[in-house]
Amino acid sequence: MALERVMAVAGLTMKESARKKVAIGMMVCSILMTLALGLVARAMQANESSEMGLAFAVQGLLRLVATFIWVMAIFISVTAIPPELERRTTYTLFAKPLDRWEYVLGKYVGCCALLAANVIAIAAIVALMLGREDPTLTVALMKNLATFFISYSALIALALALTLVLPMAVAAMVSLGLYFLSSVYGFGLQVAQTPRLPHWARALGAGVYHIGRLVTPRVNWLNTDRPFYEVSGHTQLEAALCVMAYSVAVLALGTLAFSRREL
Amino acid sequence: MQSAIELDHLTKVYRSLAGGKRTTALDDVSLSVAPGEVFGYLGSNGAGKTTTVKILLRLARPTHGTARLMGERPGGRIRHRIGYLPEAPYFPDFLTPVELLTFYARIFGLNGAARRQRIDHVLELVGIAGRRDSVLRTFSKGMTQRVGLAQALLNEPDILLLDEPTSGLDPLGRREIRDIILDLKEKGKTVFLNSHLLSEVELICDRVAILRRGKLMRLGTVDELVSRGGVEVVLRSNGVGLPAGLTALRCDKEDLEAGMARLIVERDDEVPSVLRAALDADVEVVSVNPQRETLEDLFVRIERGH
Repeated sequence: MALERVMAVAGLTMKESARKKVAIGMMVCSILMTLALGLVARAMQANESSEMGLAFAVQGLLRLVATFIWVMAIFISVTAIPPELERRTTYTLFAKPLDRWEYVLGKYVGCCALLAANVIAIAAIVALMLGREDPTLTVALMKNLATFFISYSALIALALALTLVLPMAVAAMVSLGLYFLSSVYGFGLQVAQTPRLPHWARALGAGVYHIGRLVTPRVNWLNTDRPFYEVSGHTQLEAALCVMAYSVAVLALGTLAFSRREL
Repeated sequence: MQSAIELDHLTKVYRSLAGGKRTTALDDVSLSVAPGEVFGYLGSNGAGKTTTVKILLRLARPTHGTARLMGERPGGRIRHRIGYLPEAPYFPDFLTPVELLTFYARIFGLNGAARRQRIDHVLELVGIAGRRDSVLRTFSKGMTQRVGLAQALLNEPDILLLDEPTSGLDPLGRREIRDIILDLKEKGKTVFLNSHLLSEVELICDRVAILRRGKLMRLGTVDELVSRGGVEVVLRSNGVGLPAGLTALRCDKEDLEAGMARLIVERDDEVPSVLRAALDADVEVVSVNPQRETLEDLFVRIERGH
């Protein structure tokens, strides 16, 4: 029964994105970017001397796609719940046997499903364009897309949870900030360990590192400083589990706060 | 017999975020609504009507006191037996009525043929079966209100909480909604009705409660609450003035030149003797009208603090 209700909310979230053309717009942009990625990769492949250049070009374009999905993930998640609270659609919903955690989980599943649809579309195009000619690169790209999905699902959880306790714009800014922090807090450790820097700068670096470790989803574990095609599966699995646990934790905290909130 | 709705010393105080300003939305309200009763809950804007409904739906928590629905605390399983129509309902406007009701039906756990039958039935009942596949953004306010009522009736609730159900409807639509409420009453459903349309409340409610600034000011049947204003007797005396037997009565308006006099007879049992005296004195009786305060008069009186 709870699953049916969660899926009903998720379905409605997806339907809303589809009907309001958000999902279609996202999909078209992702496909166009991926096509560009494939064409560049092919062009580079034609030139045998640029083997390293190919990897860099593919990685660069992949980052572009990732950034686009990143922005869309934030947009979808921060607009999923606040408009419904503002328009009081939730009054009718919670008058029915729908618990708040089911509603939040349904929204999360719906947003993740939209993201998954995009990632799958990108993966399909990558497989079609590069699959035959460079299977190794294609598999590496698929792995990277999977890590995108996992790390952005954490971002969705974070943004959704924040919208339950903060105004929409603030939630968007904070989730972007935290996500950025999650990518750079390792840099804080480097700063803290650099002896020639002044004391305050090292203290600041240490602060960024420790706060970043505590409050962010540790997406940098997914995207290590090694090129994406060299990351071992084992490390990524651990990181993925950690990021998923983070998603569950922030959603649980957000829902707890939301359950206590008066509408 | 267990009450359908019971409020026991219900108090709700809203505090500002800073904690300084306190607003008392409900102040020690106690009442009970019997099963099968159509209960009117009246009050001007800010009187505490919506706060009460929010507490009954567990969208807000009381500061003191309790609220019960069929003996159960709000929220939880009792929601399967409640239907709620909010004031000025807003639904996802990209959906059609059928899609919206299907979504709500899934929340109630209705599936398959039962779901389809129930949706068809409520759409027919509220008169929008012909627009079942039009998207809601093309609906007028009145049509949206009907969709709202359809979703409130979807689970065949025992208790209906209706917040301004006839808002935005034309006279015919209002009549139809009124008939639906009366039909629900016949089926033994309890209806808790928030409304500003006092004439309608007067027509369909078994009992009413009137709130003012969070306080319960009156509670009872309409007949109990509104005062009888006596009986108006209009006489035409053909310029000769009123007979001696009638001059002792309160004369509300007398136009001797036209020979007209309007008397207010305070007690019903005095009316026959007044009429007899008039006829004996050859004074023409133009009309006899029982006077009664309307619910609106009472409401205005309470609002003005009388």
